[in-house]
Amino acid sequence: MLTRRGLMAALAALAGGAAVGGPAAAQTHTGQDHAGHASGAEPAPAAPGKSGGRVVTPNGASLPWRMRGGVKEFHLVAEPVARQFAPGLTVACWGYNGVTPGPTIEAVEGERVRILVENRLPEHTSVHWHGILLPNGMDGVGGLTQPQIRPGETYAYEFTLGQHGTFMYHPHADEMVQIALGMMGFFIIHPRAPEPVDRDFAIMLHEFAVHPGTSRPDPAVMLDFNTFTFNSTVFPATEPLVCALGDRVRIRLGNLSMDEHPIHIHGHNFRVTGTDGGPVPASARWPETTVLVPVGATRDIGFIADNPGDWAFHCHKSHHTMGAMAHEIRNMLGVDQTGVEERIQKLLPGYMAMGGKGMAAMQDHARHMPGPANTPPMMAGVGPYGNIEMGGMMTVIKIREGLTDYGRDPGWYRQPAGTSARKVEGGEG
Amino acid sequence: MSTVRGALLGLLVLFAGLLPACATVPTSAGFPEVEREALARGEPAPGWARDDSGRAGRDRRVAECLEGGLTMDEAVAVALVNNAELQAGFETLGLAQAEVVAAGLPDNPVLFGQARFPDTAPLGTNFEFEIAQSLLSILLIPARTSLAETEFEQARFAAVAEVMDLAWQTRAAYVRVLVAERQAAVRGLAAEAAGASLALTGRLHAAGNVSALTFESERSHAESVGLDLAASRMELATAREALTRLLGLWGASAAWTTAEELSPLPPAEPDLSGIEALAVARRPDLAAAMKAADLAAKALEVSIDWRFLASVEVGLDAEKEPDGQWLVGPNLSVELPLFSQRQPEIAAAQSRLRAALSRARGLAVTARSEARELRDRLLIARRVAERYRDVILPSQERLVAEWQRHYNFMLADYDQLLAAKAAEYDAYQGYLAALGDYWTLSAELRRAAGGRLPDPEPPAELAAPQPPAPPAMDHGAGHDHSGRHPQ
Repeated sequence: MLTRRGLMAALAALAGGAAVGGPAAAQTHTGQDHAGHASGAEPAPAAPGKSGGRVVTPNGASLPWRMRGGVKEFHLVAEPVARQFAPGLTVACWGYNGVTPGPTIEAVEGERVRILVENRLPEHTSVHWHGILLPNGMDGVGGLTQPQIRPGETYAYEFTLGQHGTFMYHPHADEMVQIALGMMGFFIIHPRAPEPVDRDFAIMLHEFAVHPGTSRPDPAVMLDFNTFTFNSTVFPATEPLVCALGDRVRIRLGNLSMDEHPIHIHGHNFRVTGTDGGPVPASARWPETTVLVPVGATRDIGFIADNPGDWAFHCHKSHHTMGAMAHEIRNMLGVDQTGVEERIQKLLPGYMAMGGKGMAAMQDHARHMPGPANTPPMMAGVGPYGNIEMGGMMTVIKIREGLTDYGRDPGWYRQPAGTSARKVEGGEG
Repeated sequence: MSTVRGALLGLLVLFAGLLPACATVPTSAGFPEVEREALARGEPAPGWARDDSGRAGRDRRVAECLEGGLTMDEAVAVALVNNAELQAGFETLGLAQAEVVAAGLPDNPVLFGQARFPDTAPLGTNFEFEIAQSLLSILLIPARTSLAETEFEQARFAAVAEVMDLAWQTRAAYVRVLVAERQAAVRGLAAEAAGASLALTGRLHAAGNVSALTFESERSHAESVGLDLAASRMELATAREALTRLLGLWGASAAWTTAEELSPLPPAEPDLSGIEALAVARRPDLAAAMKAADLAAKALEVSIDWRFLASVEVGLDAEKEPDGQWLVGPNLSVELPLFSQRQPEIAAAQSRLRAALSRARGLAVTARSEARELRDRLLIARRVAERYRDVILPSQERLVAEWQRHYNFMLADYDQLLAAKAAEYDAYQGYLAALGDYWTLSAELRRAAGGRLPDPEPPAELAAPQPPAPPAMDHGAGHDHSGRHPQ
């Protein structure tokens, strides 16, 4: 069913010509070493020689560039990266320019771009420009379209952008290892004409196998991942998507992981406005609250932020919104440990019966019971009403009326009186 | 008649001179020397209960030691006063002392008398009296006494050796009991870990969360741990009774208890570099063997010295002829070394001497070898126990803490956590065995070195690794090593 808001979003997307602007979101909550600043304050395209772009990459940034001989030149450095996924979880990844995902490359349709790729990895690499239409020799498939870029070497890729949309870059050399370690990034091509969008977010979905007590992703894992990330960050360290009431919002989602991820919005519905194959014609869009982002694909969704509040935005595979979990453990549900717990405590005083009534108690438990090194608890996040009991691929879209600064977390939403669920007291029900 | 009188007088003087030799046998039987030698070697005083008061004293000593539980030293003390075999061994001292007394006595004189009745006149009865004394038995007194005294010394050293043997056997048996006690206790904890795990799996099964396959598999594991506990208890019973026998206890006193724990490793070994020399110098069995060689040498000497004089008797003979005339006069009988000058006896004595020397030399070689072997094994046992103490047990503790951390975050199951705890108990069993080896070897080395080894340093109080007891209420975050106490 097409809702009013969805219709408005579709119309807005079609309208075009609206100025892109507004305050920049300074995404500095987790202290990441940003490669550049998100800077949405300037008219698109960004002025030559200035860093950044108009896209907000939560927990990340856009890649600076400079104009050289009429060519927009970027410098990507492939290198090992220590990435803090959340406080208490720092992962020995590989990425670009000190971060994973690599900084978002932003350019405008029709521009000629040159990307210098310097390899500071211990092994060779290459960069494939996923979804971008370019000459075969620029496609970045090691061995097939070019020699691999050996450690210490720099290759230049140069091509003219003949399309717009949300694309990606990633290695096409020892791809299994290099992607498993976090090498990926957005390549966003804006249309020549400014778009009717106030907030433009880019979130790369990924999953890592960081076994409990370790810090290096295990590239051999095919299915049993335990760390599910938005821009290589897990909830609650994921930066919120701050929007003013009525903003036209686009969220670009990319997926280079081993699983599809059904990404779900609360309090709104949206249209899928584009893929890495290009824009979806308005006539082909239908309303959704969940978009399944396939492996090796991007999805742009658009909506009007017309419903104030704190709205969860997450992968709907419930295991993907959990912190580190073991998947082969025994099911303790419905097990009464009375008596046995005391017996075990005589041998192991730190022992506590868990899981008998569900796993929610886990979050409080984890506050005073230590876990393995470098391992976040399965559930985290504390909201105004208590434990949020999530982790992994989860963030909050914060929509506020009268917002003046996108760069500042507006705090928890205060629900107007009479609009909250309430406990039913005895007799009332 | 002056000759007769002279001879009579001579005999009287001889007997008077010899009479004091027939004194009574002293009761000490050299035991104070044995006691002194044992004390000098660091053993508690042995006791030899030969009469009612001795037996009462022994019973008091045993009761004192059993009061409030036995320490290792008290166990040795009890064995040294109450072990019946040792008591029987001490009687060798009595025998040897009797031999010394006997050696100081000449053969008793022999009185001979006869009456004969002539069948033709004169018809007076013929009487003859003779008193004869072996002169050789008198002449040999110094030599015989010297031999007997040497043998007595040998017996004293042999008694000290028996004391030392029993002391080390007692120490080894005591250590075995301590190890068995602790191992049985720790096995009990391992069985409890398996039992608790099984009980919880039973709950899971009842709740419909694990299959009968899982539950029964875990039961079979828990049962096998239970059987291990039974084997531990069997070993404890065996170890206790082995010590009880050495202590000579029975009845109510067989329910003795131990009053100490297996000691941790001492901080350092005594100086073991001169251990061979120490063994050769101090081992009482080697001293006894050397006394045996000494005895054989003396015996050979006596055989050679007296080879021409096998029998010399002097006597006084009085005969009343039928006609009433008395014939009185001395006599002398001497064996003439015509055919034998004791060559076979000398050859035999030479053989005995060579054999005794060989035995002493062989024992010295053995003593040196045992000292080296036990020193080396002791040092290896120390390294094994240190490895357990410094590396294996802390690693097991960290493992349990890690499993606990994984369990805390629902990354591991209770059975994995309890299995890790059981593995920690197993490692502790290994530590106890290694420590038991160390103390057993230490006791054996003490015997092999002929007594206590000089302490290197005043032993510092070291924190011993405790059995994998429950850690402080820290939820596995880390262990307070000092505050834990054994289960």
